[in-house]
Amino acid sequence: MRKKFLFPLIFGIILTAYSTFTLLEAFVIPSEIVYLDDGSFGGESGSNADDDYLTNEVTANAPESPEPPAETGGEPSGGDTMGGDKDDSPETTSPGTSEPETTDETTPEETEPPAPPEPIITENSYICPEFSVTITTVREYDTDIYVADVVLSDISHLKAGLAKNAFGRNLSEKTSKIAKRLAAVLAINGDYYGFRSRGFVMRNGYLYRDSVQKGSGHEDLVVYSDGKFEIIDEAGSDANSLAENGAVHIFSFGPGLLRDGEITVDEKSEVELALKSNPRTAIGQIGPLHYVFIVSDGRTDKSAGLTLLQLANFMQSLGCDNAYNLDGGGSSTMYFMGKIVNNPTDGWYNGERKVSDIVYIG
Amino acid sequence: MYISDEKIAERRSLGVKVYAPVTVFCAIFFLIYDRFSHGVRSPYMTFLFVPPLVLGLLPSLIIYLLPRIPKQPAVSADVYHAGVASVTVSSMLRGIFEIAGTSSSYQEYLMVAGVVLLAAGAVIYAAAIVKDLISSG
Repeated sequence: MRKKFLFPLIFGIILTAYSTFTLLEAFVIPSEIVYLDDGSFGGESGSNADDDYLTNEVTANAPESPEPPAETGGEPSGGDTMGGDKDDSPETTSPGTSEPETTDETTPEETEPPAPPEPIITENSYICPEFSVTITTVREYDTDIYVADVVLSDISHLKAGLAKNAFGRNLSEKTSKIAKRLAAVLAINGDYYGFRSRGFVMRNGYLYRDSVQKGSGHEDLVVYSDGKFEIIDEAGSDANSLAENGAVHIFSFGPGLLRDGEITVDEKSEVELALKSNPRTAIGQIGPLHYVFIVSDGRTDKSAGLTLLQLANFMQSLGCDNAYNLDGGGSSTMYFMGKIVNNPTDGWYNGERKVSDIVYIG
Repeated sequence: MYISDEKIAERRSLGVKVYAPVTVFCAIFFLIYDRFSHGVRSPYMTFLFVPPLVLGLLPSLIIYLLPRIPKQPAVSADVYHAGVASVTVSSMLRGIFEIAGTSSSYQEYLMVAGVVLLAAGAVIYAAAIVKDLISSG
C-alpha cells in the first residue's frame, strides 16, 4: 500500500514545489537586473543597442544627473500622502517658497550670470522656461479624469525612471517614491515592463530589452528624439532599428488609442480580455512637444473608470494625434509636486501600487 | 473470490473518486478567482475543469463501467495521472499569468512535461493491452 502511493506522493511534492517556484519567479523574485549608474540612465551592461548610438543619445538628451531642477532649488515635494524621505523638500503650493537665496554682497552683479527666471508654481501648475505643466480634473463617463497638459522646450524633459534605480523583472517601487527620488515635477506610472519577460524596453535612450512579446497585436509607443510619438506593431518592428532611427523611449503595454487622430480601439478592445471599466493611465501627443498625461480614477463608488474606447474618445476630444494606453488598474497614479493627484486603488486596497517604472517631467 | 472482485471494483472506481472532486474543485476555483480578477479572464482559467474532466474523469468512468477492459499497469497509471496533474496545474498557472498580464517559460515547460507523461502513460497502457491480446490468443 505504501509503495503504491509513493510515486504520487513524490510527484505531488515535486509538482507543488515547481509550481511555487514558477509563481515566485513570475511575481516575486527579481531577475535580469541591470543597475543604473546614476538613477537615470543605463549602466555598463544589459543593452542590445549600438553602443555609439547609446552614447550619442544619452549625451544628446540626458541630463547629467538626476539632481533636482535648478529652478526649484530642491526636490519638489512635501505631499502628505507619501512615505519616504522628504525632510529637505520645500513647500509646493506657494510660488515664493522655492526661491533660492542670492548672494548680492559677495558677488558683483557684473560677473554674475543672469539668474534663470523663477518657476511659477501654483497648486495645479508649474511653469518654467523649460516646460509647463497644468493639471485639470474633468468629470466624464461618471469618472474623475486627471489631465496634465505638458508643453516642453525640449524632449529631454520627458524622462523615464526605474524602480530601485535598476532595470529588471519584479523590481518595483511606488510611483511617488521614484518621482521624489528623481525630483520629478509631474509623474505617472509607466508600462510596468518588469511584470513581463518580453517586449521592447527603451528608456532615456538606452535599450534594455529587444525581445518581441509572444502573440500578435502588441503595440508599442515610440518617443523619438525630436519629440514625435509613433505607435508601432511590435511583432513587425526591430528595437535596434528604432534606436538607430532616433528613439528615446519605447513603452510596451498598449494598446494604441489614437493614430494620426483616428481612434484605433473599439468597444471590444481591452487589455488581456478585461471587459470592464478601470482606472487608466495614458499619454498622448497634441502637437510638437505638446503632450497630455491622463490618469482616471475607477473601481470606486465615485468613479466607474473608463473603457479603452472611452479613454480614446476622451483623448481625441483633447486634440491628441497619437495616444497610448499605459499600465492601468491599481497601478494608475499621477504625481504632481510631491502629491498624488488621483485616488489609486486596485478595487480592494486603496493606495498606491508599486510599479517598475514611471514617466515624468523634470 | 467475492472479496477479490470487490477490491478490483474498488480499484477501478478510484479514478472516478479522485477526478470527480478534482473537476468540481477546478470549476469552483475558476468561479472564486473570477470574482477577484476585475473582469479579466483567460480561457485557461475558465476551462480549468476540462483537463481533469476529459483526461481523468471520462477515461476513469470508461474503465469503471467497462470491466472487460484490461487492467492498466501501475506504471502506466502513475505516469498518466502525473501527466493529467501536470497539464491541469500548468493550465491553472497559465490562467493566472494571463489574467495578471505576464507569462512564464517554466509554465510552458510544465505543459510539455505533462503532455509527454500523458503520451507515455497511454503508450505503456496500449502496449499492455496489445501484449494481453497476444497472450490470450
